[in-house]
Amino acid sequence: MNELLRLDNVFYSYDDLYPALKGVSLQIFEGEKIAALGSNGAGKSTFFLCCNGVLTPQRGKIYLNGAQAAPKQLRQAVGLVFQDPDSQIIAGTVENEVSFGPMNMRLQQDEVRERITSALERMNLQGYEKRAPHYLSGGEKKRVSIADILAMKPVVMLFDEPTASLDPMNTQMLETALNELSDSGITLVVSTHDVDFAYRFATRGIVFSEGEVIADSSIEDVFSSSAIVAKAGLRKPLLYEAAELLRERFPNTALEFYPKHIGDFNELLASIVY
Amino acid sequence: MINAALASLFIWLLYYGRLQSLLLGAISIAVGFTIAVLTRHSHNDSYLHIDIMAQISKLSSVNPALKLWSCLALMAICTASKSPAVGACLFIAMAFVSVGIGGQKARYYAKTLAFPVLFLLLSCLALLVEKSAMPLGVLCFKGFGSSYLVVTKSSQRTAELAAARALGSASCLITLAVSTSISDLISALKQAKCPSALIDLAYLIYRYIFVILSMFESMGSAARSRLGYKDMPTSIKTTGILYASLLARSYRNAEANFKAMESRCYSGGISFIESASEPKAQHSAFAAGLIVSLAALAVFLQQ
Repeated sequence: MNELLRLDNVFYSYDDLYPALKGVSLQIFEGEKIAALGSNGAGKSTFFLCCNGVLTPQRGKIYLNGAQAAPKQLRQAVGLVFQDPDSQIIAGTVENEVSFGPMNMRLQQDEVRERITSALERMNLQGYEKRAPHYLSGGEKKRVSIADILAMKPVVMLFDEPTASLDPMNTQMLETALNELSDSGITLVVSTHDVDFAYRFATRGIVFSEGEVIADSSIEDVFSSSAIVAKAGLRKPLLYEAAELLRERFPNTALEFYPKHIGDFNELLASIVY
Repeated sequence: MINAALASLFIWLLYYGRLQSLLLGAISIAVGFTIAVLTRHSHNDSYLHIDIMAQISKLSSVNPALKLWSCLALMAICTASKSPAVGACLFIAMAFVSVGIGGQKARYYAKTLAFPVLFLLLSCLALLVEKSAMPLGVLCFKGFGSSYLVVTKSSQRTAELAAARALGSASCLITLAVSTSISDLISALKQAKCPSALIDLAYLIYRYIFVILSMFESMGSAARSRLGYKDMPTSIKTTGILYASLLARSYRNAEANFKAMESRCYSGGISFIESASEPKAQHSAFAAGLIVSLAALAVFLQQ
């Protein structure tokens, strides 16, 4: 896998008083689906802002495609979808809103228009071009905020708590959209407190605690460690816990995989020999 | 209701001595009643009804620059004309454009006009009623001390012309407001080479009205649910706290918004894609016809 982004011993503190990142080093590879986990104030948002180039690390370096990257390069290549769409949306129409990033990249009008059409199509927002964002529902605003970033064609997309304040239907739609983005080759890093969603969606988990990365491995391995889960203030996903219970109850049955969906769990139940 | 009463009084004073008393009374009451019905309060009224009207107008797809410059030309003719009939005709034409062509409900159009018209009527009343040391004119009331409040033929003519000009111009602006979204209007001003700092500010102010209003409404509801407005002293205290919190939250929100802009390569100037449609021939012809007709009417009445 190609390395897209690398953070090397990155430190960042607000006003030199509150250290938010303390020597974070990690690599992000092409096509990965990563969940950034950790309690509030663990450093996830600061990590995202550094990756996107909005914050410049006070110590350490950030590499993009193997070369040290300037903030402008990071902003173009690494898109950041903010938690609250109202903090991100600035324009009076959806079309203008989505055009903001590409226009800042100094692209030609035709190219910008093409990108707007494509981004809106991918987020199922055709026909919303002239709508005012402030009259859209929470789920629609979230899709606009994702289209904002898609139009910039980033290689990595960072999502800061994308499921926060979304209803179950919109969460499901968002999950489908994220999977489609991943299938199209975009590398995704999603910060979330929803461990069930993280477990279902991601293949890799990075756990933050007090500004440090305390775990970085496959998502199953992250949740297998009770110590990591407790230290990061998380809980184990329900399906993962259910599978662990089954393993305890039926020690003679080889339960070979951890179920990520209820269908997988059903398959696991069927394989048990009573 | 205040509008209706003021309009009845204004009409009565304006045409007193020029129309037969019974007819004038009937007209005044009819005007007042119509305004009272059209502008009656409804629980569906929102602060933002103009913005919503602009979004749903059938004229919203018409080129915003064409609408802006046509309205300015019509206003210029109306204010330059010395005949009140020009303002009155413009008022009727604009009502037809908004309601008949734009598809707005007459009640909402009237409600939108009501607020500026209230101020216009108050100003025109001041022109209509003069203070005099002598009892003269078509109508005379005993004022304070030895002075009189009088309505003269000359003041009637002045007030009539001022009211017609103001009403015509206000209806032009309201027609523009209820048929053009703020985004389109700002983009038309940008095309007209307005300073970019003003344009950027206009974009941000427009967006922030909704963000801050939403914050204000949720904080107000939260305060109300905890008896924050149970009596006058508590209400005053709550209002103070609410505005202070609103300021702090707006500041935090502005910081977050700036970060979000920077993350999308913002480097000091807001620019969006040019989305205004080119003016269509029939729209341009209609606007030109309206302007030429009003100008011809003004010239004809002048002569």
